[in-house]
Amino acid sequence: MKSLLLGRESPRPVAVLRIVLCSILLVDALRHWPYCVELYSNVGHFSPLPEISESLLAAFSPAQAVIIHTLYVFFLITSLAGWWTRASLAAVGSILVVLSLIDYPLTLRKDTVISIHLLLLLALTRCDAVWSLDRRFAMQRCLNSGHALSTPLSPELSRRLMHVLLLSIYWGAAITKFHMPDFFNGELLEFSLLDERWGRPVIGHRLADFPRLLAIMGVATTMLEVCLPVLLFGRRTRRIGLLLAASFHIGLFLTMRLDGFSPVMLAALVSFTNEDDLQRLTAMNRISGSGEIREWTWLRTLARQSVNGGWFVIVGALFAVFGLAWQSSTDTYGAFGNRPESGFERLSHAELLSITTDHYPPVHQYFHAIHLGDSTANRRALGKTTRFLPGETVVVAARLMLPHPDLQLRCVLLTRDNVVWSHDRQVPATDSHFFLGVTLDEALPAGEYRIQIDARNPLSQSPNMLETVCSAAFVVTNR
Amino acid sequence: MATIGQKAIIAIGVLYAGYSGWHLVTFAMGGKVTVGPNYFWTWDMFPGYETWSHRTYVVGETSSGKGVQLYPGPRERFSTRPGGISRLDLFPGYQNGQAKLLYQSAIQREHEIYRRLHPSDPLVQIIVIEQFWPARSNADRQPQYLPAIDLDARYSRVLDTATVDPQGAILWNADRKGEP
Repeated sequence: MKSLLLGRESPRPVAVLRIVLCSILLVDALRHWPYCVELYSNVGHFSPLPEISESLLAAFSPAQAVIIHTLYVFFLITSLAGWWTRASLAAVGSILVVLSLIDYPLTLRKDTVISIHLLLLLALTRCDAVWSLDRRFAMQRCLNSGHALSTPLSPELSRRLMHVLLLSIYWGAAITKFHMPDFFNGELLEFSLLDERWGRPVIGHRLADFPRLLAIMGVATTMLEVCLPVLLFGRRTRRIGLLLAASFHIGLFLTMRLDGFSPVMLAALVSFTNEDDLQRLTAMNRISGSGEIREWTWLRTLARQSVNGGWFVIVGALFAVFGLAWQSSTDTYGAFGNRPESGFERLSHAELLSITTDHYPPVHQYFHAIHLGDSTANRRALGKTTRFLPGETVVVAARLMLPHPDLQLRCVLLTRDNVVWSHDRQVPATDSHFFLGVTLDEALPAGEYRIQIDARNPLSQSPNMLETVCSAAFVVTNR
Repeated sequence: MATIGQKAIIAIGVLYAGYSGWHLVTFAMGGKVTVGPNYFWTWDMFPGYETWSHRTYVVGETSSGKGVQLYPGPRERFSTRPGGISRLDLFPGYQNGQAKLLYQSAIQREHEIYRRLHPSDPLVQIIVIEQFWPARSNADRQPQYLPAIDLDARYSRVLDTATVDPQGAILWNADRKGEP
């Protein structure tokens, strides 16, 4: 326990985490920067996190939004380069909290929240002790004064807290899935992959064509989320856990659009690496210092820090002024008075009439998929699909789009010429599935049969018209 | 003997681990922890899904009978998704309680700008329209046993309307609930 609370370790793993995480956030920040006026100022649409933000925060003026976002970029650069590293990390984390609260729909994402945790925890480490300008300046001072400088070690506890964060992320995600049975039959994954907002075209969309594989993946994902923290915390299983977790997040990145989630999680996994892993990957000398040697008097240290801090403030201020001047001169939104305010798209009266008239889909569009089988499990039809024996039951399982209107169905079993069996059914608007079991009479002659389902949509322009939504052919054979 | 800095880190660590653990247990027990600042400790990845894709448009009718697209408007240029998905379209629809408030706030803002730019032709009505289509159409997917579907088909419905009084106040009518 004492070693956990007071232990110190090589700062290299947290330095790698600092560099990787700040690089990811910097790319994201540079994408947002040209649009910061619309996202974070009162010129755009103020979309705060409900319940707390409106009472605590107001949208910035355009100039304030540009200055704050430019400083956010500046602090990310200084965190990455390692200049006033820990102060910069704390500043990045704090600004990101404010920006997230102001822009709830776009900025307050899961990866942003995870990044905020990591940034603030990194600020408690000595991630500045290697691969940083801070370190270079210290080495330069030692060279000039002829003193030796050892590398300060980092508190182990901060990195352990990152492990607690990852544990709660994986187990929290697994708990969510346990609360949702649709995850285990693959439907949640299927619709998420088909959703243009979350599913990635090509791999993601194609994967949605394999519902049984998705059901397996649903179970496997949840199992993995439960097991990963156990594997990552075990001394012997840590590397297997890292490999599995990295593969999982790369897989997510290839199939889904989750903004920075996968890169940030991959960065967070760096917290599970240690000095030995880095030694294996690169030919570095082991860090075994026990603390920073204080070579100077406090007065000289204070003087040096003040000069360094002064430069930091001056460069930051210049950076912000440059950002403001740039945005002001481009003035995309007409917010700085250098361009006229952007106007609105005009529509003719005919266009207005056309788009304000309701157009409802034909009734078959309310059916997502229909499967045939001889049994059901997990809200799916399984088993035989083409050949059945007399006495067996043909199961039709339909997945309906939600929301849908109350549907009236007529289900019929047909030979080429005759209706063998028919059944009328109501499907309430709240049902996401319906199942139909047709038991084939023992006396039914062998041959080709078809189950046809016709439906009526009360919302359509002709509510009494039946439309065929399913036509599933199969063969009945002799024993 | 721990220094003051070490003691501070230990205190932060105990608080952090304790709060994270409490949250996880509350979440596991079925507690609602997704509101307000608790969002920063909620890891509810994949909390739900939608079967329809949708875009929400807001148009205004002017006193001269012309139309104006208020949302997405010229102050909604940034999108992290292709195909003109606005940031409010990332919510599961206008009917979602939180989204509706944000939409109405955005409409209020655009209306104020419209009034300033076009004082001679004020808006008399505001209409919120949802364009929607089955999610499967995003992937050129023809399901087995179903009739061939028109992958380019787009459907629409009016979700909400508001009248604008001569002083410029927006008076929302009751929204229409129900099926697409």
